[in-house]
Amino acid sequence: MKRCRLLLALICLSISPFAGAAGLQWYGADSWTALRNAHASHPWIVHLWGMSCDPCRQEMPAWGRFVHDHPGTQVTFIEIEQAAPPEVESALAQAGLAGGDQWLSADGFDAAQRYAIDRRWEGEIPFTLLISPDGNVKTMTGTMDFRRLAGWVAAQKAPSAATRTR
Amino acid sequence: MFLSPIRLRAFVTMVFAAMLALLLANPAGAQTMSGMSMMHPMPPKPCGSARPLGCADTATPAFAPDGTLLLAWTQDRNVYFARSKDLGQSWTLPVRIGDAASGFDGGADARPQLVADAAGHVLIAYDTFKDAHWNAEIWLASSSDGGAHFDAPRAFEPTAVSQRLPVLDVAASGKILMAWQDKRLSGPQKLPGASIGYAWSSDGGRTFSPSQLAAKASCECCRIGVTNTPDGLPILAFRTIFPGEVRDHVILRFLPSGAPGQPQRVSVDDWVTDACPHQGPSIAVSANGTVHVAWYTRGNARQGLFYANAKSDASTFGAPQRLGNPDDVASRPFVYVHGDRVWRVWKKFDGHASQVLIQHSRNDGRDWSAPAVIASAAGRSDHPLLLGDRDHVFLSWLSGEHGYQLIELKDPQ
Repeated sequence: MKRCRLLLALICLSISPFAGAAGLQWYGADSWTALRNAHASHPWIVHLWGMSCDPCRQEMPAWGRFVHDHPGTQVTFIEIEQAAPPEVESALAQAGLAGGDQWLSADGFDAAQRYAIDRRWEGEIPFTLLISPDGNVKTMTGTMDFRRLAGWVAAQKAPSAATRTR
Repeated sequence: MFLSPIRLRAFVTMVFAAMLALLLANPAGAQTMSGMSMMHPMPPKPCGSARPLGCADTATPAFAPDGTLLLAWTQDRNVYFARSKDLGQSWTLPVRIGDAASGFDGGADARPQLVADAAGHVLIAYDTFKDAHWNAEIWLASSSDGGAHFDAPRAFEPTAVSQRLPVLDVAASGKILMAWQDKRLSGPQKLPGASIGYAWSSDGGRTFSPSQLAAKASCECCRIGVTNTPDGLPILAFRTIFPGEVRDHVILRFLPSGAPGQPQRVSVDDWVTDACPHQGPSIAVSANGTVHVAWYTRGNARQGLFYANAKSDASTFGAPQRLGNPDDVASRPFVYVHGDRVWRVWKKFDGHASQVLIQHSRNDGRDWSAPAVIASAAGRSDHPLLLGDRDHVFLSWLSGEHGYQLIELKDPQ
């Protein structure tokens, strides 16, 4: 029994604190590096959005359905406009995304933070990164084509996933 | 080559410096948000700047007709104002114009706006979000004594659906034009984007005419560019939405009657997107009527920062010219004219620091000097802005590293 508990503890420790993190957390200057490390070697979807962005809010329920329909897929949501936490939490909850891997900009997205995520990204939202386990990154500006997104997720599970994207 | 810095090191003079030290280098306010239900409060984090205004978010300058430099800025979700009689060597005590904490607009193109007219009126405009649907309202604060005292800010049209990102302009007639992103059409009808709303004031901003629409379609998150034509009438530049969700730019002239004319396309970038770019265009008009526009796009035809001009009698703009190099991480272009001299600036980020690059034309935009770095700063920085008084042109730039800077631009010989 003790061995089982020890094994369980080791398994828990081996999971980064970011992977599967539940609930809204502050996003700061160092968060991107930590997030990338936490999600390394897994297919990872990062969705950047803002509360004042109409298309962002309007498609959030579709994101909620996508996450519900793709359990196990790592999806991170980052609100970049310094909106009030209760409002962000409420919007995510109404979209069926309560308790997911969610972040909220603590001090606004400056050039360095945008550059770290994608050097070409000037802050337009919604903006989504599809990051393959081999590190390849595909970016998408604007609202999501969820059929294409589901296709990307399925492709990541295929044996030849490491040779794809860009 | 362009530099003749009149840096604002002298903020430290007068009592203003002491006030700023307490008020503007405040460390933590913006980092700790109230009302968090699931989140732990973020620990106080110094903004890291001891420079005057180094902890401010955005700063917008304007010259009063008597040459007084006026400055409105946001910090810790408040709007402040101060004046300088010596181009920023010393300042009046900062006045808190309004508390924008409730519904603070953190959009990248949101910033307070201000104008001053010949009668001594100073008008400040900014917006906040007002409801759960992220509809915005415009707040106005006016002064009739050159900015010494302001009335409490008042909501422009409280019952309007949504009015955001106001800009101000004083026409030659002395009337003030305000234009903004308006959702009276797009909100109820769930259409993409917004419209361009406008209203005129004949009393320095104390009252305005009923608001109307100047254009039905606009990109809701991008600031409008505004200036005057040689005949003293306002002209706008804004990102509109063409059929097919194409978000390209147009200009729009106001007629002597005060009514808007028809939009004129600046370029066919073919940026098909439903995203919020948060980056509006800049416009300036030469003494001979040439219209200069600078903008950002990620269209199918071109991506990056671009500039184009149109002679006063031209129905179309010339070919867009790229600002900077294709590989540059460039943003926030701004254009300004003084007679037939034209200046254009933009911001470039190299992964560590931001640089403001500048080019100058002595022949109304036909030939340009090579790009030169006029300022640089590590860490966060505001948009570079250009403004002028009767004889001089300045770069206005706010950064965490240097605080607020006003740098005179010299005509390169």
